[in-house]
Amino acid sequence: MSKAEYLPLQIECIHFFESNPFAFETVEGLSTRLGKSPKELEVVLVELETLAIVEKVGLGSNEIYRYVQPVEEVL
Amino acid sequence: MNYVTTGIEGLDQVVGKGLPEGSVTIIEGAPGTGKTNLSLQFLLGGIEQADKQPGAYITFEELPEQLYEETKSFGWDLRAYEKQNLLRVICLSPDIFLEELLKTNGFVTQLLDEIGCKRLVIDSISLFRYLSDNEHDYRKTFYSLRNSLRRKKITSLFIKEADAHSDQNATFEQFVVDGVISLKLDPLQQIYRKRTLEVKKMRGCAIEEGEHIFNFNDKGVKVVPALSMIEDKTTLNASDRFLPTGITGLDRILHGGIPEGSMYMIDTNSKANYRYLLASIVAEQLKKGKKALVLLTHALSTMDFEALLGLFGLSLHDLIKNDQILFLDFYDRIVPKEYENAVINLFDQTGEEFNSVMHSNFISLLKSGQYVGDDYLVTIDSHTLISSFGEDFVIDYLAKIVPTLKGFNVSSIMLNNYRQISERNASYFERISDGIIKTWVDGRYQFVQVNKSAQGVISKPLIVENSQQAPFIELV
Repeated sequence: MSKAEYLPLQIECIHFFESNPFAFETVEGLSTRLGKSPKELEVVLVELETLAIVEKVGLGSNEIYRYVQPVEEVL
Repeated sequence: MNYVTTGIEGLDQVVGKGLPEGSVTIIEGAPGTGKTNLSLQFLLGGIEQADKQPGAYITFEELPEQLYEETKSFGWDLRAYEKQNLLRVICLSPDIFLEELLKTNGFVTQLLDEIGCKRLVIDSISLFRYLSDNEHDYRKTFYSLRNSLRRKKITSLFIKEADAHSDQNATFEQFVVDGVISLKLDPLQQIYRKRTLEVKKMRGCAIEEGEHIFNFNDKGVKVVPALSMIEDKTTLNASDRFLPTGITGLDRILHGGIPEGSMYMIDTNSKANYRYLLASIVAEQLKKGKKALVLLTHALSTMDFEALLGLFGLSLHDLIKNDQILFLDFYDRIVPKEYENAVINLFDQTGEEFNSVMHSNFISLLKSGQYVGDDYLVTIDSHTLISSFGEDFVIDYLAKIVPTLKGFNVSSIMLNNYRQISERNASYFERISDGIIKTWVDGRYQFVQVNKSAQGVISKPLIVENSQQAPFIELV
């Protein structure tokens, strides 16, 4: 899939984390929440991490993604 | 022990003083019983305290955005509290939560520390069971969770889905935690539903047992503690004084005693011993210098009163000498010579003659100002009046005498046995009484219950226990 094809899923992920700023999800967990394929989500989350929209906590099977709140939004 | 307010109107009263600080309480109930809203309100209750107690809501299944939206109807802006660092609605899976909470410096702990979390809700602990391979591991995990929160002094609510066995058997979790509050949705009058809340356990708290109705208003959850009714401000405002009954438990329920100038009924059944109750009330007033007009009963003669008051340290001889007590006797009984002047005998008299005696010896003296109503306590036995003059006369008489006594601020006690009068008249007696203290024997125990009071309180049935000292009864 091309980057453009991932865009709707990327927007959906951003919207999810924006709406739930204290959500902590593994790829599997987010897959269940959004009803999307874990493989596709993995790609999107890596991209969002690069953009500093989400950050990763933990390692291996415990890799958890959390929202990085924009500075003006953080208190 | 320190207690924290639940933040839920009425609930602090039901649990005693609020929740013990650092305690863990299970909120259990079927879907739709109000567990989430009640728990969220507990967090907001902390935020609204002067010392701001931040809280966190851990949700495993429901998304925070749903909670933000759903609670807007109560005027709760959860996001605004999050922005003020007073609240976190954290969404994650139960296994990660446990691992990160129990791990040294795990991110859940960091999140809680970040806001100085004092209150926590876990929605729901039912999912923890699926994380463990066996019962032993599950119990170990649950203990660890409880201990971890206790050590952090975080007052916590654990939401638990009620299962088919919730009503019958106490579960392992219920033994481990400090408190258990059960929520239910029950049928009411066939077509309605009522929400009830029951505190089944709360360590270190004197809970109000039984089910209490709660409902949702525009500000959230409101618990209406059972055994409460509307206080009669007309009676309370007319009196700024209470006549202690001398029975500690009863005075506590009645906020000090019987309001001066009111009429309270002691409703007994034939087996119940009401003598100490009556004697205690009368003796307390006589000790304070009040005067008593006592309408004797078939079971209480002058001599019985002499003995009873003697037990309370009073001498009938002295009381009569000081003009503090006057008896009306409806039976043909021998009266010791020294008490003769204090006893008016009405044996074989008609109702009209009784009325005339009451008028000339009491009512007219109140009206003329020779007697001051505040100084008097009158005791009436409805059964004695009915057997002497008939039910119709008594109803008619009480309709006139009770307002007169109240008008002069005379306090009165009426002994009654509902089972000896018609249902219509029983309901009339109930209506004219400002308060009703019921006592009855059931099996091998005697009970006392305040069924009505001007103070707006009614009590649960209390067991009457004998004691060796006056008033010779204690309410347990």
